[in-house]
Amino acid sequence: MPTDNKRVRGPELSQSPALFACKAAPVAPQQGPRADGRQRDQVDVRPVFVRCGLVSQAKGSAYIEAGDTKLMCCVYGPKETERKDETDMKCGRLTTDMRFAPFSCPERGSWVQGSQDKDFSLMLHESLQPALCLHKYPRSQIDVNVVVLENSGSVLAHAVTCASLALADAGIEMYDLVLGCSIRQDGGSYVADPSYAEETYCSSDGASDQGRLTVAFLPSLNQISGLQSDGEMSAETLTAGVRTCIEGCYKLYPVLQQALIKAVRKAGPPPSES
Amino acid sequence: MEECESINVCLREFGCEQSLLSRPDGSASFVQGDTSVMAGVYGPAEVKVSKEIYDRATLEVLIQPKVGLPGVRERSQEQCVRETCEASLLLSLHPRSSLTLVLQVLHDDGSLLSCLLNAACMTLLDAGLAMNCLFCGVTCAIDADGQIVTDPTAAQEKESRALMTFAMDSTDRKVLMTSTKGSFSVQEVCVFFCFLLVEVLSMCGSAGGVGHHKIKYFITVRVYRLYVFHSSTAAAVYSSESESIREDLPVLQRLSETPILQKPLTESQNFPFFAILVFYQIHTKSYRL
Amino acid sequence: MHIVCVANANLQLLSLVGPFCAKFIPVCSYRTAEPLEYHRSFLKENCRPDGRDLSEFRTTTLNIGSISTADGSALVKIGNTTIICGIKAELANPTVESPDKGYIVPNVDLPPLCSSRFRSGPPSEQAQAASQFMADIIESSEVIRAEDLCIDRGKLCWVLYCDMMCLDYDGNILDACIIALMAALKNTQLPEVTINKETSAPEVKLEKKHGLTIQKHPVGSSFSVFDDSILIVDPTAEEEILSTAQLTVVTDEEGRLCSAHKPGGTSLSGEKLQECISRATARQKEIQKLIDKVLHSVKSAE
Repeated sequence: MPTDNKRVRGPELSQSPALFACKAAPVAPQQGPRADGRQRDQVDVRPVFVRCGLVSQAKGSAYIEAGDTKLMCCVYGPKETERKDETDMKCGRLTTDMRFAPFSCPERGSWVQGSQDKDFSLMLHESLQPALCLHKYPRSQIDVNVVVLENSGSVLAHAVTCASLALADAGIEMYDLVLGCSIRQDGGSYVADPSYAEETYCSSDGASDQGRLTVAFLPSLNQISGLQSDGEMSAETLTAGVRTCIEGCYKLYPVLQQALIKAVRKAGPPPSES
Repeated sequence: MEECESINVCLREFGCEQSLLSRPDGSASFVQGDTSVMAGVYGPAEVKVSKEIYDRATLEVLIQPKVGLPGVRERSQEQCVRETCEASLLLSLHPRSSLTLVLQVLHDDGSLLSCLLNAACMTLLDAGLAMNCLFCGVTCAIDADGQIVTDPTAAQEKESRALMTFAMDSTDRKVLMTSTKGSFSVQEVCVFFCFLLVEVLSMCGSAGGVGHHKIKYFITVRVYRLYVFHSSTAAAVYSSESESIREDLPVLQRLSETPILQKPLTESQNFPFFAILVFYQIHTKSYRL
Repeated sequence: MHIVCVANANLQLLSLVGPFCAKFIPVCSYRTAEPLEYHRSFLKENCRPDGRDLSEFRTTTLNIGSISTADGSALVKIGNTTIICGIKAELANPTVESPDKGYIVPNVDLPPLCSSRFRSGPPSEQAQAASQFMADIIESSEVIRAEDLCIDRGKLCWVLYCDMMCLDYDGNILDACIIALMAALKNTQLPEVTINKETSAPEVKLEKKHGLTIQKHPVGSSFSVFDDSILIVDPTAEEEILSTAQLTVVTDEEGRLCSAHKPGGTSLSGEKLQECISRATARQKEIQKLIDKVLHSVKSAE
């Protein structure tokens, strides 16, 4: 394994103490109410806390907290394209970067971006692009950076929501906000907005319809801009799942609207000429 | 509280050689005891567009350790050396260009940062880059008894409870850079500072003083060598090179009294570096022959 | 007082651009066009564009233990500058040279998120220098005795990964990093580990946790030198760029210096350095009080 020369190095090998725990960690219950008291088979999303315009250096920024999942997003641009060969004369470029803080997951992550981070970045890009009026920003680039501070499940869905809020806060022209919601299908039942334990839990009985689904949704246009599903689900379950996710998105919508209104009010009226 | 009673000012034997590499625009090696650094500078040359600064040259410093690849420690040393050089170089004379200073550690036996700084200064001088002051680095350690050891070896560094590296400039004799390790009381720094400043000014052969003095001595000898090449009084100067640090002051006086260098070179006087550098560059060719 | 300065500033510009367009140039464009002159006009009046004194720190706020996936965490804000520090503890074998010592691995990251000046990819020189600086502080101040992290001599010890991430870069990250690190270390809870005699495998009791013994409380104070002579404390990102030198002084509660770090720049006299050291000593007391207060409130809330 190549050594990382650009960081302070620790020992070559270290292991999480959880591996040596005497008692196994409590398993998420598979029936009845969920560990955090929410209901199964209902669109019972966690309450979210959203705030816009926290980062002074960024054009636009947003912070979202859903249960213990904490994410932050900053938007820089529109600015000149960094690489001249990629300059598009007619259309702007959107770049997305999503990364996990090393302390964000129960297992310590590495500073180097893994393949999962890259997958998420790509998904984020695909979900956001349809909502942006990129043709209004020719020859320029808009950077979206997301950092996951704490991962407690449904990271991608909340990242989409957070990024679209930050874009709106930056004053980038958009057709609509993009909202994200995810579910975890477990046989006949499902959990909406799953927590980390619910997301990673493996069903032992090998039942069919095991999977995760994340939907990015444009609420006022009533369109889906991004959809990711892992696992194996029948067509009916999938369509039902998508519908559930859309319902979840609508639940988030008023909260985000309020946050944006608050941010605009705080920014105050444009400075008068004097 | 520990008192710093006696300060043992003695530097290890040190030496320098310039223009020993043919490829770089300026090069030098600096040896302090067993610590040895080789340096080369390239530039002013074309700069990458991303690194271009519109009103001055971009200085890049690269430090190569003796073994392995440069890591975080080297990066922090690079930052120290770079910002010190930036303060002393007249970078605005070469806008939109690049200077690259490469420092190769040949052996580390303590006081590495100060040796890097000294090598950097000698290299910049050798390249004939315009500077508003010279600088020299001194490392000192405070050992367990509270005594200050200047220019410590690696073994002394290990035993010490605090380690400080300072860089001083030659014109104002002020602190250009400090980097410390270990904890020490405020008094100890005060003592050290007063000591350093007073000693430098009175030129009694303090750590900083000797450093400067010696660096100047090198230049003088170097220039003198160029002169004597023509005036065929080489013998005296070559013998002066083998003299120890303690005896270099008379050499300098001797040098200043020679009729070739018209003005006497006193320590309080600002050394006419530019003139010398220009002269030096002109004569490099003949010297190499 | 600083309204007067703004007026002055505008007047200077007036003379430059002629009277006809002066009405339409607001203060903010003067700031972008001539940032150095803009700052100088404030410093002349012994104040700064954000209304601070030359020796005044920005408001420092601290939040401890907000990340539940980390073993210890803290979020520090100095003005706009935000640093989050999360500590993850893992088990490893100690080195052969020092079999009774654990590891503390500090790393500072400046992601592209925190400012437009940072690119994604491997850490920049600044981030690397900051990481090394933090490692030096931990080593020289002996915040935690490395022996305390040893579980079984020569076989098992703790590794504390202290990851500091900048979320908003507005200057003076070193001070913020030190505060975040100290607060996070104080917040860290390690599970109890015993070695099974028969299998010689470690056994971790996650429900039994204990804190770390913190030996020292280093606190840093950063200064910027403006125009080779004016010292300002706690510089913002803008001030950092315009200044000619940076200096960070770290002191602990006994008034001992852990570090006086000046990576270069224009020279500074010994007296000025003295000034900085005494300001740093005062700052140390303020910050230690803040950390203790927040920790206390966190404990009483539980």
